[in-house]
This record gives sequence, structure tokens and C-alpha cells, in this order.
Amino acid sequence: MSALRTSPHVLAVRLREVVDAVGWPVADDSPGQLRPAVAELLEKGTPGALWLTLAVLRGRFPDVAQVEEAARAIRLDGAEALLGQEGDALTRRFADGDVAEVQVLTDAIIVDVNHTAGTDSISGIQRVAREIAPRWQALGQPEFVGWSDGYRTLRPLTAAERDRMSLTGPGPKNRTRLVPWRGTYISPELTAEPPRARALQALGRFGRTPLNFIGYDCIPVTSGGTVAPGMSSSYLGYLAAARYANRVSMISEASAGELVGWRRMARAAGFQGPQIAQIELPVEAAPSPVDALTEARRRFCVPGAPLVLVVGSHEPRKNHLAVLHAAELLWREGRRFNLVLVGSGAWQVQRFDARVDELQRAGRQVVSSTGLPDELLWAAYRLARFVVFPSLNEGFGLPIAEALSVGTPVVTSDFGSMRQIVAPHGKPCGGLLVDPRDDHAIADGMRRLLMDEQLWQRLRTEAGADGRRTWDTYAAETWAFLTGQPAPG
Amino acid sequence: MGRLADAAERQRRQLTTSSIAAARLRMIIETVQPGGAPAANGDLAASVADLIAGGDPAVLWFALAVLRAEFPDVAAIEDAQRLARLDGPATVVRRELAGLRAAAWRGSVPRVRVLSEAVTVDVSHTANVDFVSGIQRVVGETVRRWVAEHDTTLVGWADEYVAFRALTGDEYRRVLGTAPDPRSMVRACEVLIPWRGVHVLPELAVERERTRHLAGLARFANTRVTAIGHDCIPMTSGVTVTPGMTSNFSMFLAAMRYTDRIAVTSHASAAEFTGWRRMVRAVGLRGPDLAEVGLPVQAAPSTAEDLAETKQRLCLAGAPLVLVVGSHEPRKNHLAVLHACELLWREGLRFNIALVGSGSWKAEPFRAKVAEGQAANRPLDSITALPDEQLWAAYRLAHFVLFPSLNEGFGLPAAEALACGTPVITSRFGSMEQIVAPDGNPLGGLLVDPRDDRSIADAMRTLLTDDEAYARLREQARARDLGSWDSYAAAAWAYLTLGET
Repeated sequence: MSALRTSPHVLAVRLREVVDAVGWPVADDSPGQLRPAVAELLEKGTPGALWLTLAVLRGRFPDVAQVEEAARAIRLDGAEALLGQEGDALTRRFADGDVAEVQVLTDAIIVDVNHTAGTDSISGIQRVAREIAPRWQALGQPEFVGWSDGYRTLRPLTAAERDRMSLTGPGPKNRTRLVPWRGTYISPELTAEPPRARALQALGRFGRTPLNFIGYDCIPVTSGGTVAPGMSSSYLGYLAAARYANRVSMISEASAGELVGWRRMARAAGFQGPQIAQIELPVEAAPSPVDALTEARRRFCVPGAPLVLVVGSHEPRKNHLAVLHAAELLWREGRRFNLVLVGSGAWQVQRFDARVDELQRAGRQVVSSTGLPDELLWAAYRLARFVVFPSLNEGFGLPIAEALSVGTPVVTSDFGSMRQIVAPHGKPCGGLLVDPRDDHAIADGMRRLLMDEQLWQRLRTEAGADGRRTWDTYAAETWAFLTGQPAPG
Repeated sequence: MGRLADAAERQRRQLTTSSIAAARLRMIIETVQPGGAPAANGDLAASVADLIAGGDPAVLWFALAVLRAEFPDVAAIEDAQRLARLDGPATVVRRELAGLRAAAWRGSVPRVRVLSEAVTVDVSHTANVDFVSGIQRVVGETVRRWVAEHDTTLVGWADEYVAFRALTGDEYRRVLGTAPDPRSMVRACEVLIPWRGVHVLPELAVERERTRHLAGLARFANTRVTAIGHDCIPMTSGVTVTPGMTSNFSMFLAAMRYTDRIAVTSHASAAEFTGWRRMVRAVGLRGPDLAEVGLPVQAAPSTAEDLAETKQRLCLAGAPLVLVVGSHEPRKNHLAVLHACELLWREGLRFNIALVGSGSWKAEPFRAKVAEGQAANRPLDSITALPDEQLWAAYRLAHFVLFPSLNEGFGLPAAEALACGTPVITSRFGSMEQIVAPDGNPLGGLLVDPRDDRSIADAMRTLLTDDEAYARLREQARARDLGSWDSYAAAAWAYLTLGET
């Protein structure tokens, strides 16, 4: 056993992984044979073989600069010298106790759900990842993966992570580091953590595994200043990886339009950019048990005052100050309603909090509710007279789709994905469209839904009647596109 | 005695304070409604409130700008609009006057001047840096001609980028290279508030406060904001610029969404800005009109002295000079250049290379490679500061210029080399391709894939060893006409201030 753990053996095992994956001919396993064979592979082979060799020997995906540097070193001093250095470094790491196995995953479809599998929270993106993971598993049995500490390599999900993603089967037991070779990589997440994005840039540019993503929006580019400064910079790291991607499925027509604009920019800089499809997100209403309805009614409903619901994190892009202003205009007109804002504070919330506080002190019926369980949110959707969502920019606009799915009318923005959801065939169905940059327009929309009983009844019928897409359809369509079948439609 | 003096001082201050407030209110009334009926009961504040009550956001922007001596940003306008609607415009005026009086009491109010129907040109950055990058060269050449031929006010920003101000004499000299005309100079401590003008931004504005106040101006004021669009590099090459730059650049683009017109400098930057506008339209905004006004390049003459001095500094006897111009940052791809050189030196080719440019970002790997090459006795020079005359001489002395950048809005060094009749090697896409092959066929240069070191080395080898090919490229380069600054400045002026293409 201890003999197996000597460093020449580790090097041999890793070199063997490389030659086996590539199918490079070697006589036998002795280090004396393997090293020259891999050296020859590196000198004659593609950048893909170099990426693979570095990833396997280092147990860490190289970044773009590291691959370029290694390619230059090989050209100047030969691959033997590089392998010598890499072998020495491996020996040192091995002596320091870094003994994780590295396994090449050949010709596999891998699905990267690193972030969602590791958290219990549910943002829009995490909801998508959770809904599609079990469905994709049924469709194609891909390998679900996360990233090892520090985003060094991919790794299998743990049992707890698989549970969180509702995946069946035990999955691999060990904590092997996985290095993909050929096959295909898919992520339904925003892979913008800087080291993750850096690793993906190099994989996309040099590796032999095409990258495919579900893409959500381009808000940091189109609405600069509405996201935290750090976000726009890491988002651009993600886009830098997307330049090398094979396919991206955007969640709405509007967000696909944004990404097509970005691709045009990237092409001016000499990149082909990915194939882009628009596969609209589905919404399936969750049922509301009586308990949930009772509890939500207790929390949010005031007798004689209809419930006006606002769902969305508290950040400037969601335009909550405009909603609060429109509400105040209506209260001053003597309209009675109870305004409930559900969502957690995200960024630059001070002005929002101050305004809510001010209105409450003036005796207005306004409630800001954070950390609401899903069950109560669905109940609130059902109890609301309508939902107001005049956001300035959305990749999809989930709260509108969710409201419509339970037959509740909406007031939302007259462009982009929000318009698309309410008026998929041009004519609004189940909601009113307003200019979110015009407070009066928002107030008018709200006033009509509060006052015009006939209109409200009609919108309610329209909202409830619309046949919505299902997660099954969405998962099937994205799976087909991201695994290389022609784009739908 | 002390109490009496205090009282006198208080009275003096009160008088000053109320006269400043009255002057500002009058300024608003006379600008917005020139020759209008005098205020009822002389109540200036009520008259201004009446003007605001008209609901025109441009009037509100102007009134707030004058009363605050600061351009209101988008949030300030929205906030004032809401307050006006809830509590009436008089409340807005009262609130602003309270702020003004408090500032005046402290003695900290700048003088405010209204610039009516003027063309202002924002050269804040160019006026405050000594180095000359591509953008600063464009600004200098263009603005110099605009000032000579049109009624133009050059402006910078006051304090923390809160409002326009006139340039100081030093700033003026830095931009134009000449002393200001005293008649056109106003004191730089005055805050300038534009009304019904055209504001031209010929440079990149990435200071956060500047973009914030620019966005309010572009979106709400009745001054049209137009710009020269150089490139969208931070958006397309996210990883080759500093992290802070990407975030600030997105603020710049957010302000640009509300401009009227952007004159883009090349076919490639037109494609970038068109892509960006498509993105903006997906979120319900119209975005600016775009027109391509291609940059020109004119070589400056070189004297015999310049040539001799530069030759002594950069050239080696018997070895052709390969010239690389550009700041030391990853985007310029200098590591690939150094690697290609090393490959060729090992093949036994003789040439020396001079890399001219200052270190800007992540220059350490570059410096290390240069040191390594020099330690190995390679004929390799990194020159961080070269006067313009010597740079032009270097272009003329070079065997060829090597510029395989990963992304450029224009690619000035490639164009400047051609303007001197010197062949170039540059990247096979975007603006660099457009400069070398405006009609599809390369003229005066070779195009390479900058992400492939060998492609760079191959092209260098050709220009170093194939005399026939080299002579042909040289001839083609000499025959190139790359336009003039006169015609560029005229075309840019016509488009940016009048909308004529």
C-alpha cells in the first residue's frame, strides 16, 4: 500500500489518465514509457491535450494565462522540461498530503449545479436549477457536479447535495476531482464567481468540452448602476467565458434579444460567440392548503381593504419607490387598499426602508415582509386583488407569471420580458401594461384595477384562462437544445 | 461691543444670503421665461414654483441645478417630482431655498452662470493628464479645430464632478497646446448650468460621480448630450481590463443610454455600440442614434534631428527595428509578441525590438519577460516614455510595426505606422482589420490571429526574410490615404451638434 503512494506512482497514474482519455499510444505503464509519450502528445497535440494534461497533473483547472504560458514553454524548451517541472510540483504536493484522486470524465454530459446544490435558499435561478435537475436526470442521466474547494476542479455532488437537487440514485461515493474530456458541459446557473468563471474561460477556449448555459439576463450591461459594483465586474467575467460557449438558452425573448446584442459586440472583437435560443421559463402554481391561506389572510388582509401585492427584492431596479409613490397618490385620493411588499433587502435599501417607515408613521396601510415561506407567498398571490411589478429590467419577471398562473391580474412594465408574459400574442391578457418610469402611469393602472370592477373581473378571467407552460416542457426543450439538438421554433 | 459686531455680521450675512437666493431665482425665471410677466408681488419663489408646476422635467432639472449649483442626478429628479406631486411645487422650491440659504450662511456657495444655447465640450480628463493615449490624441486634434471654427465652450467638472465649470488656463493649454483667448475665459470657480444647448463628450467618462451627474443631464435636461464612442472594450473583453474599470464603464454606458447621438470611431466600434443599443432596446429604451465617423490618421513630420536622435536611441547597426507601440496591459498581447520574437531569435533571425508604452495594468509578467530576455542578451528594449517627435521618427525608422492586440476601438499604432509608410502586422478582426484592409484586401500589412503565437511569428518571419513581399507592402503602405483631422473634425461637428451625416 505504501509503495503505491510513492510519488513516481502518482505521476504515472495521472499520466495514464491523460493518455487513456486522449487515446494516445503507449507501450506500457512504466514512467519511462509514459513521460515521453505524453511529451510527444503535448508537442504534437492540440491545446485541448495541453489543457487536459495541466488539469490532471495539477489537480486544478488552469486559467487562460497558464495554458498560454505552458504552450510557450513547450515551444521554447520542449515538453519534457515542462513535464519535469509538473512532476516535481506534484511530488511536493503529494509530500504535503495532497492526495486527492483525479479522474478524467470522458464523453460525459456534465451538469454544473454547484451553487444551488450547496444552498437552501431559493432565488429565481435556484428555482430553475431545482426544477430541471430531476427532469434532466430522467431525460439523459447526466453527471451532476459541483466544484471542489477554491474552484479547483469539478467534483461529484455529495449525498446531501443530491438530495437537495431531488436526484435519485446514490451517486459516486468518493470526493474525486473530475476533469472533463470531450462530452459536454451544461450549467443552469450564473457561473460568475471569479475563479469559476476564470476556469470556465480556459475550459471553453482550450478544452475539448463545449460549454452550454441557461442564461438569465444582461442587467449589469444594460442597466449599469442598478447592481452592486462588484457584480458587474464578476458578471463580465462570466460573459468572457460565454464568448467561448457553444449554446446559451435564454429565459425569454427579451433576454435573448439582449444576449444577441452582446454577441454582436463580441463578434466585433473577433469572437464567434454562442448559438442563442429563447426558451421561455414556465410557471406552475403550487397549491395553497387551507392553513396557508388562513395564515396569509391573518398576516396580510385588512377587512374592507383589498390586498395589493408587490413581490421582489428591495433594490432600485425593482422600482419600489415609484410603487410607494403611486400608492400614496391613491391613498390621498381616498382609495382604500393594503399594500404588501414581499422580498428581501438586496442592495441600496435605505431609501426604500425610510419611505416605508414614513408611510407607516403617516398611518398608511403598508407592510414590508421579508423571508416569507413559499407556501405563504403562493397564498398571498391567491388572496391579492392584483400584483404590481413595474420593474425597470427583468430577464423574465417571475412574479407576474406566478400571479397570472393563479388567476390574479397584474400591473407591469410595457416592454421586454414583462410585456411578453402579459401579452404573448401582442394583446395584453390578464394585466395592464404601464411605463415604469412614469409614476402617474403606475398609479393609473392601480386605480383602474381598484375601481373598475368590470375590468378587474375581465382581467381575472383572462389571467386564469391562460394555458401556461410546464416545467416538463421547459426541461425537455432546454435539454434538447443544450445537448446539441436544433433550437426549438 | 462684541454683540453689536455679531449682530452686524449676522445682518450682513442675512442680506448676502437673501440676495444670493433672489439672484438664483431670478436667473431661473429669466432663462425659462425670458420677458415673461414680472412675479406677482415680487414673489420670486412662487414664480419658480409655477414654472415647475408646468411638469416639464427639463425645467425642474434646470431649477434644481441653479439652486443647488449642482446637476441633479436621476434619483434627485424623481424625488423632487414626487415631492412636487404630493406636497406641491412650492414645497420643492422652499426645500431647495432652505438648502441654499444654509450653504450661503456658511459662505460656501459658488457663483452660478447659465449657458444658454451653447455648445459645451467636456474635456475634463484630457485636460488633467499629461500622457497622450489614443483617446486624448483624438480629443486634442478635434477640439482644437472645433474651438478655432465654432463658438464652443470647453468645460471640465467642478468639485466632485457635480457641475460644469470653465477650464483653468493650465487645463486649456494642456488640451489645445495654446494659451486661452482671454475674452473666452470665465473664471473656473463659476458653476456653469446649460440651458437648451448641445453638450459634446469627446472622451471616455468613467468617473462614477461624473457618469451619475451626466446621466441626469442626458435624461432630463433640455441640453442634447452627444458623444464620440471609442469602444466597448470592458464589455467585450471583461477580463483584460481592471475590475473597477468594468463597473465604472457600465455606469458610463448607463448614462449613454439617454444621449441623442454617438459618433463611433470605426466599423468595429459601430458594431459594438449597435450591439449595445440592441441590448438597451430590449429593456424599453430607445438609445442614441449612431453614426460611424471614422478616425483619420495624419503623420506628423520628422526632422533630420528627430530621426538621428531616435535612431541612436532605438536602432542597432545591421538589425532591422521591429516597433511595438501600446501600454503594457494584457489586452495588448505583449507576452505573445515577446514569445514570437524569442522563437525567431532562436531560428537565427536578426532584428531588434523596441516596445514603447507605459505600464498600465497587470504589467508584471511583461516586465519579468523583458528582464528575462535582456538577461539572455536579446536585443530588446522597453521604453516607457518617448516624446511624440521621437515616436513619429520611430514609426519611420521601423522595418515594421507589430500590433497584434486582442481588442481595439480603433488601433491607432497600426494606422499611424501606415500613415508613415511603414508596414504593419496586426489582428485579423475588428478595427485593426478595417485599418489594414478597408476594402477587404490587406494593403500595407499582414493580418494574423493574435491568439495564435505562431501566426504572429510567421508574419514577422515573412517581413524579416521575404524582401519582395516586404517591398510590396511598403509601397502599398506609402500609397495609403488615411483621411485628415480637418475632415474628421468637420464631420464629427456636423453630426454631433447638428445631426448631419
